Amino acid sequence: MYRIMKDRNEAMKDEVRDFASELLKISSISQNEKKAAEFICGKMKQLGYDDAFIDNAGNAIGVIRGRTPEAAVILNSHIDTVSPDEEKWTMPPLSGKIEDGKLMGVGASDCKAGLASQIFAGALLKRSLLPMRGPFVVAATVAEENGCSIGLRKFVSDTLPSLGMKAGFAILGEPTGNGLYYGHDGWVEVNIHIEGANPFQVSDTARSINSDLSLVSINRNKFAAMEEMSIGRPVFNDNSGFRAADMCVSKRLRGSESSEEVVSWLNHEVGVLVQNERKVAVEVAVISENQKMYNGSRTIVKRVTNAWQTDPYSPLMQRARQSLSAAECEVRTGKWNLGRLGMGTAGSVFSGEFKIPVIGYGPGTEECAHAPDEFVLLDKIYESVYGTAAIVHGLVGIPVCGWTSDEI
Amino acid sequence: MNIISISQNVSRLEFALFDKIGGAPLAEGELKNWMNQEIFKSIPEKITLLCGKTLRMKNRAFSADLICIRAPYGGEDFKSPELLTDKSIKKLRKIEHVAPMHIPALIELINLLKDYFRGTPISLVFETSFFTRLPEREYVYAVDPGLAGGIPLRRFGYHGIFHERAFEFSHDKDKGRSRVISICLEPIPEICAVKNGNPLMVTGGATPLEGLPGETTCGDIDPLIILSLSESLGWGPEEINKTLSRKSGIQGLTGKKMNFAGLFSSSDSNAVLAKNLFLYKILLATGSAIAAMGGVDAIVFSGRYHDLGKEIHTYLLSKLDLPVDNCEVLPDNLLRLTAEAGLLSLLKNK
Amino acid sequence: MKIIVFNCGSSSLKYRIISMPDEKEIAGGEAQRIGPKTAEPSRIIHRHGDKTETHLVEMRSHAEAMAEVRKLLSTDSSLTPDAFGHRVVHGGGVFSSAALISDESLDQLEKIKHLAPIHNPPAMKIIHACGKEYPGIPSVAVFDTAFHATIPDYASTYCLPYEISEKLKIRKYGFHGTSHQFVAEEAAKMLGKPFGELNAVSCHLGSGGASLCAIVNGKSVDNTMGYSPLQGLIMSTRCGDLDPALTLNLLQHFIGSTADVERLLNTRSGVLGMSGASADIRDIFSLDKRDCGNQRTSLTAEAYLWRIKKYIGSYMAVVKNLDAIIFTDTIGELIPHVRWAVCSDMEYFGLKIDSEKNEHAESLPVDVSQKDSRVKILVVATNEELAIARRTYSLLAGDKR
Repeated sequence: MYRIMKDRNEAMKDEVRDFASELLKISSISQNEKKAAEFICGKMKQLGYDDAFIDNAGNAIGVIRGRTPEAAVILNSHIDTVSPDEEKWTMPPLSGKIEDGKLMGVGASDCKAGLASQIFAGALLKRSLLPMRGPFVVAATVAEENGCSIGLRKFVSDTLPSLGMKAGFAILGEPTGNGLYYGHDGWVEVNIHIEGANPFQVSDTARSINSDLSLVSINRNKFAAMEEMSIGRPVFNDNSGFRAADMCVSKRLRGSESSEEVVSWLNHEVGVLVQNERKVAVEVAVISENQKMYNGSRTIVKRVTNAWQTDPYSPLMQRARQSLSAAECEVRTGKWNLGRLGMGTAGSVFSGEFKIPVIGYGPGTEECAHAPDEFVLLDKIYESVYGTAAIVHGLVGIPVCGWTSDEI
Repeated sequence: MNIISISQNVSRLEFALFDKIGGAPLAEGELKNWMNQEIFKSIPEKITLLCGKTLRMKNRAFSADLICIRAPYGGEDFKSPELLTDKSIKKLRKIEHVAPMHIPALIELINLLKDYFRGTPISLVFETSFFTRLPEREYVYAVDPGLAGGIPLRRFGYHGIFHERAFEFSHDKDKGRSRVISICLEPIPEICAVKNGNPLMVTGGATPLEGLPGETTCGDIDPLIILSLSESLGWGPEEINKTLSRKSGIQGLTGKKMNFAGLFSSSDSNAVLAKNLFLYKILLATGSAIAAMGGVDAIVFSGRYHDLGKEIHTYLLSKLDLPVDNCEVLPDNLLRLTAEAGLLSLLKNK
Repeated sequence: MKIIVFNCGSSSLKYRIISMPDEKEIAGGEAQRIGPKTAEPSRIIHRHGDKTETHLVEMRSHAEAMAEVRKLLSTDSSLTPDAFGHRVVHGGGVFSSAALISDESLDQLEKIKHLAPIHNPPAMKIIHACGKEYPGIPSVAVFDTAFHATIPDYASTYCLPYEISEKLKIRKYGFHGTSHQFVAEEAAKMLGKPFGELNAVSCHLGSGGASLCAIVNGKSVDNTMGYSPLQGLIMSTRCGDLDPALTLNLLQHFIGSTADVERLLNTRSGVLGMSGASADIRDIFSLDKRDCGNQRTSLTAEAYLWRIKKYIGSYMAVVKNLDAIIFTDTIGELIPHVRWAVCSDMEYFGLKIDSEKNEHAESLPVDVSQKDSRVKILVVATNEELAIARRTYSLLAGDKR
């Protein structure tokens, strides 16, 4: 079975490369994914998915059905990218250029290459003529980078049920360098709003909160739970005659730490500082935005990336490990570092909100994500197509056990 | 009449051209790794090329009058060789999950040949057809019938073409031989008890993995061994399957790639154990077969290693009170038996 | 010499006090429902002479049960033991005969515990408890696998990669050895043959587990059970022989959970799984007889008997100059038509069963073959406890037969 899959994957390489490159040429900054979604949907139709459509949230969905209606494996990658900081790029971010086995462009690693791998993993299983026991669904979702995964939430809560399916397992195509990742820390962005009649008093309070929190953050760095916090400079709102200031605090959420805990801790710290300043009001809240999706729907999203972790010895991880190993792929497990502020994955939506076991497996690298001159290695994409197909087959494929000896 | 006979394996596709029944093939060939896309596409051309060349030497033009495909698995609905119709494909689609390495590939192959050799009848000859007549008590497993989520839990055999012919062969020589033990010596050997033309007992299982050990397959093992492998080594079913299907059997015991002919001529100490073990398994199965039929009238050896039959028979005679003279060897090769069975289905249809 | 024999199941503890070498049973009984509380209270049924008493006592562990049994025995000085004999299911590749308990043998037992995770640990607890409660009194472990240590390599080897079998100690161990050996010894006595010359096929057909054993010159040469007691015949809840691919498919179906697959094959398959009606083959037979069975029950009955018959054929091919086929344990002793079904039409192997004798085989042991049957068909009551007492006695008396 694996030999046939490898063979067919080899034969499919050019198609994968061309698709990934074309996809990188289409701008799909969050909330502007329409064109990319249509392109993806068209490809899935062409590849022979049993069903391919754009759902109400604007996600591109591809379905391959199994013989039984058991819980589906969800292959999820986001279509959207961050908006590239063009000055730092040495090439046009939408080039989709290929050089020395590298594919370049914004979203190359995060996570259009992952998306391409997942879409073609379905095609690979089809072309290897492997019948499936259960179904699997490729969900190319919108509004992950900005929009707090509203696309994914709608997919799980509305689209899947409308297909008569429920999710059994999920695999994210986020950059893992084809390692099996089972979680990451989270981030929260909190706004501290200071308001008062006297602009100088507002200014003084803001500065004192800033320096105090900076001090706290340095001191607290000794304690794992409170490390990695960044405090923005206060920004004065001149419309109000400098009677209001806002300050953004971002903090890493470790393990089970929640955004509510951070807000209440900040409330406490700030409260102590301003307890004698009777004419100043201070408000601490998680930053939220009112966002418009590309299809016109609006939603309020909070700037929180929750930490999540799947048990590294859970059945999903075990089976993924076993399948990759049987397929003679490298087996490496780990977690995302989330080196840059605000990064994250939709894993917490799956595991936290919907209680669906989830892991990450994608060809990109975390270092490249959100970075200028983002790229991904083509060989990693090909490997990822094959690896993803092997994992999916392990989870919902018809086992070929007993039938694989060369001759009978 | 030109008959192309094709035999499907996981990685090897064998074919031969026959122009009459009973004769040697006019041309023979094989395609390795035939499921590779490029090789797959070239299958009809390759066959045509080889057959055409042979016939040109005889100053005859090549045209295929019948294509016979021998396939390992056809499930319960293919009870005898049949001429391809749209219904056959539908029947195959229904069982593609039961033999997932064979049926989907077979359908692809059929479609390819149908398109290329337009109008040429195709006959499907399944190894399992003979075993659709196994008694239920022989083919059931002692598990809850609803266990495997729709995969039918029943035993078949995978050398039905040989076994069926072996019985006829022996019975034609002496009509009094109604109880025949057919010992098919192929890479996965198989023993079948045939009484009055019907199979009563066979060593094959729900897949070809069960039964006698093969060149790389483990044969019967304690189910708990599989669970122990998973627990001790952290392996999943895929990895274990690879080990049991491709690294076990003779190869597992001797540590070398070795076929049965090599095994019987080797004096390596591991090979001697493997050979003794294999002979012992044949003895056990022969005992079962005799019990199943209440006796035995003849033994027939077949398959590509039929030459080993003599030595095996001598071994069995040293253990059992067997009919000394009623031991036959069926030397025919599989492609020819397939062509014959296929032709029969064509004639019946007419 | 008074020997207490302990035979413990997962929630029970059977004991017998047997005086040796005259093989007289002085007392005995069974502690039932050991462990967490169940619907019925835990109790000890104790027999002494003609008296049978039931004691309701709480026993949360095998050690507690053992302590309670000791209390009962200490009431009568005639019940003070001179030695203990313990039934231990799995002796691994380490113990090829009964073993005197010492620190060293306990160490070895500890190392092979994982091979029989349900059966060996409670037996070891009893062994430890005996050491504590009766210091100085010797204990002997008698293994189910020991009799099968003589199975030759070509019959005990599985066709797996050699290194894997070596590393994981995968081989056919065989089980029910104590019982097979006991009934074979009895058969040799019946036939007036030295045990070392007996050639037989022994059919231990219990209401739970069942296995066949091929015996050549008094030595086991094959057993239908294998690496574990799961392989071979169709048993009450165990599947017996199964295509390896089916186990693999189940493993995939249960997302790699070996525990789920193990439970399914060990406790939900066999007669129970096939019939969907009962785990006891006697129920299946009677359902079928009363015509209230269905297709599944009659198929279960037929397949159960067919598997036994096929294995009898196999072992008859293996054992040359066969003296007897022996039937024992609940099903083998009590159900005549099982013997009839598996022995009929087996004249090729020199087997002729006498219908009349077979139907009336009540007082055991008995020969139910026809006069001119070349191979005798014997029905022998098994007595594992007596067998264990014999092994214990012979080891301690230094009489190594």
